[in-house]
Amino acid sequence: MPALSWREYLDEKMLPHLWCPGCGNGIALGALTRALAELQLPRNKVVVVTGIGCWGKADDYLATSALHGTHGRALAFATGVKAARPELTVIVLMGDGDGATIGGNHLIHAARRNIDLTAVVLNNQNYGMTGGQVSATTPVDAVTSTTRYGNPERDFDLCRLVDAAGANYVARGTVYHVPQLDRLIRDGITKKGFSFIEVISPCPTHFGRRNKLGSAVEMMKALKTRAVNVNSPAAKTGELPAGAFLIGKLADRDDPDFTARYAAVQQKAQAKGGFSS
Amino acid sequence: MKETWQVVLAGEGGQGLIVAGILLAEAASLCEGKNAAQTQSYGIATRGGFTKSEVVISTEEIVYPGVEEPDLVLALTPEAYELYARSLPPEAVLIYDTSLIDADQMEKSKARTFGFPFTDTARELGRVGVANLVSLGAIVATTGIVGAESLEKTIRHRFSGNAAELNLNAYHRGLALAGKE
Amino acid sequence: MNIANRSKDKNESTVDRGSKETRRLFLQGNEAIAEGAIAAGARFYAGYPITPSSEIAEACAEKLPAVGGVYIQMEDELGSIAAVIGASLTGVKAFTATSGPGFSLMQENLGVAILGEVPCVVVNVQRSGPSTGLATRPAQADVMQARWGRHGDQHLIVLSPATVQECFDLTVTAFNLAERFRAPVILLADEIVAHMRENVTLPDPAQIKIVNRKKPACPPEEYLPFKPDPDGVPPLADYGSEYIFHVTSSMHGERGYSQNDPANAGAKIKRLFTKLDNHLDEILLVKHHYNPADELDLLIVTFGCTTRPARAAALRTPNLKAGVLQLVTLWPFPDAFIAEAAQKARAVLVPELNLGQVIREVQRVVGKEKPVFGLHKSNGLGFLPAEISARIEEVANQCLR
Repeated sequence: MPALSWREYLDEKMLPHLWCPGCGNGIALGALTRALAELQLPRNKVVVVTGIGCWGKADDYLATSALHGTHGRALAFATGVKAARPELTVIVLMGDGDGATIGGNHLIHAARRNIDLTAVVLNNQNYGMTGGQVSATTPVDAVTSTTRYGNPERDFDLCRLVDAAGANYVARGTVYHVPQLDRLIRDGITKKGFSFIEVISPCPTHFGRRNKLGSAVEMMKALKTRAVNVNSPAAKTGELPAGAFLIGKLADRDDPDFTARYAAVQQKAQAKGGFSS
Repeated sequence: MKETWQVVLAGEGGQGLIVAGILLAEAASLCEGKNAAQTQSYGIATRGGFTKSEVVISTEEIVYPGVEEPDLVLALTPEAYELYARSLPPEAVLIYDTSLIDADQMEKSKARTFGFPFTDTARELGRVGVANLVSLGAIVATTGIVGAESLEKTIRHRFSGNAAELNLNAYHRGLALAGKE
Repeated sequence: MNIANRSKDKNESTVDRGSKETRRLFLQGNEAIAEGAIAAGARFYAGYPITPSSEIAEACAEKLPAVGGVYIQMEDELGSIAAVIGASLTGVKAFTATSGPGFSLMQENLGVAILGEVPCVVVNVQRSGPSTGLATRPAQADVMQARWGRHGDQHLIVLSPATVQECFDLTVTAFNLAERFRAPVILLADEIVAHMRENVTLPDPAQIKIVNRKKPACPPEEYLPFKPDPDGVPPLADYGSEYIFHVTSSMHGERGYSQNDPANAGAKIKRLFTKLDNHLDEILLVKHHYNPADELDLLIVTFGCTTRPARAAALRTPNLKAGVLQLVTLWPFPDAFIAEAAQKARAVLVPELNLGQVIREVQRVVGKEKPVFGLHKSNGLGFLPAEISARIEEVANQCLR
């Protein structure tokens, strides 16, 4: 069979996409399709599960199977797919509102359960689709349509949260650092257990405009300036400038995943005949 | 032979009344091919630690699965005794635990009343918690509600190892208390 | 492993009763529901424990892995029904069980199952509410919630068991209807039947009628996951099969991609109704606990836990002919059966453990022609036969003598 190109994972009939000029979603979608192509995963063995939000529309453009669920519950839908059919590759696309705010409980439990899903959470620091309201990753003091006087709440560091909850793989990338993002997503898909990739992406339409962060190009440049590679000397010494964030692979473990552990449960149950005496 | 039995096993939480009810119902339904239904604690309002398990056994279809007019009551606390002693008709059977209930201090029941030292017997066996099984033995010996061997088979089926031995022992002591074996 | 062949079940009969494959057991209602699900082919359960349904979760946690299935305890009920939907789309029969508060949490994603046409079964063991209410006590107050609990226009099937045997039988039926119509089915039990123990007969598994969802037969590139067959039900492929398809909670066209066209939306919603309403003969189940040819003085319409005390009361009305019509299917509402039965009766009585839900539907069906009386109770206790007898007496004095 001839190799599948990244374009074959895209449903080009559905293009152009609905995302705003300057949005990073298209770049993240490109990274995902390149990762799928590099792994040559058969399209019918991939199920993309999405929630509600700008990034949650990504399944419309993918030529794999897909399940577009409700706001915040994508990981729970995906857990059912994976637990029932462990042989499938299940990729979960959520925004920061979907994955970390309304769906935060599912996020920490998916990580704790270490179920073999790959979550690609696109963090644009606000609810882009519905007019730029505050989310759990909006920085303190930032202005959104529901924090006109500045956000009184602090934001989550999603990677630390998911790391602490026990995911096998935690990484952060940006839509500026594209070759690295391709690799991070690819490695996340390959990794057994729960993989979490946070993708920092600009929302020039809402978050950038309200917080006077300049044009889309300037917001892109800011990603370049602020991101510090986890393997760099600065990252190693921990002396990071204000506003900096780490990118790269932040946690990498090989704990048994849910599928492996549940296979052991099934074995025990079958050995016992499944019934207490 | 009596077609339908309406049984109430009454006492307080922790006395194993639910398990006793299930064992009795299983003996009737699985070993003797009768219909049986077991329910717990609805109908009469619960108060304090009062607990009861109800069993209906019938050779006919059991239309209503709860007990409406009990014809066999096991009382393992003074409260349970008091609650049922007065209302039981003469043809009903009341079995109570003399270790815990001083019947002389209570109102006399019109029902055929039998007292046995269930808890003291269980204590002799080293485990107060098997008073329920001692009671079942006495119930079977006194009323013949199910065959002694049916209940024995049910106990063997439900428990294994040491638990089976202890429970069977308790059951046999109960049969003996009421003059069987 | 074939569950019929297991030998060390504590609930199994020790006496041979004819066919070796027929099992006589003494089970709790909740246990019978778990047995019914496994017999129907369910191999996936996702749930969150809640009184008085937890024994279903416990039984599934023990038994599903033994038959190669999966039990997963989710972080909440929103996640439980979501996981059930995800699992079902891989071709595995999936279900969950809950009670009042958890059932409320499941409503949004039940909508996904309805719109996305995902077969699954949700057991709601009704308890006394509202809110936390009387957590260990029975009620029948979720009849309307089961039907109307979600936003938006939709339709679904609700069945209600009155005996432990029906807990088993109707769970099998619930899965069969879910698979047949590519729709969620709710088994609306109650604390009384769920916690009661009775002898049941589990049929030889080979004799149990099992329905499996229609799979597509077309070439994969032609598959449209929401294009209905003439019966209104679209075939459903499995994720991971050669068919690639999308399912969405958004309004969608036949391809399963979101679509805003009003004509499409109107037709889709309409079909969610007609795919059930055009097949009522397969869905509506009632039990006449009297000879349906008989003329009655009083027709007593029951469901779930009201059935048995009502039947006991109906047997004790020497001067009055009363008959119990048990609604097994609650939704779609069995209009025709009630209308037919009411026609042969002088009055109708509807006892229910709520302050008036099914009676509204019965009144709608019966109209003004016949008097319809209620007997309503919402204090966490079930009906005793005597309470129903007393109400029959009142009704008799009012209009039957």
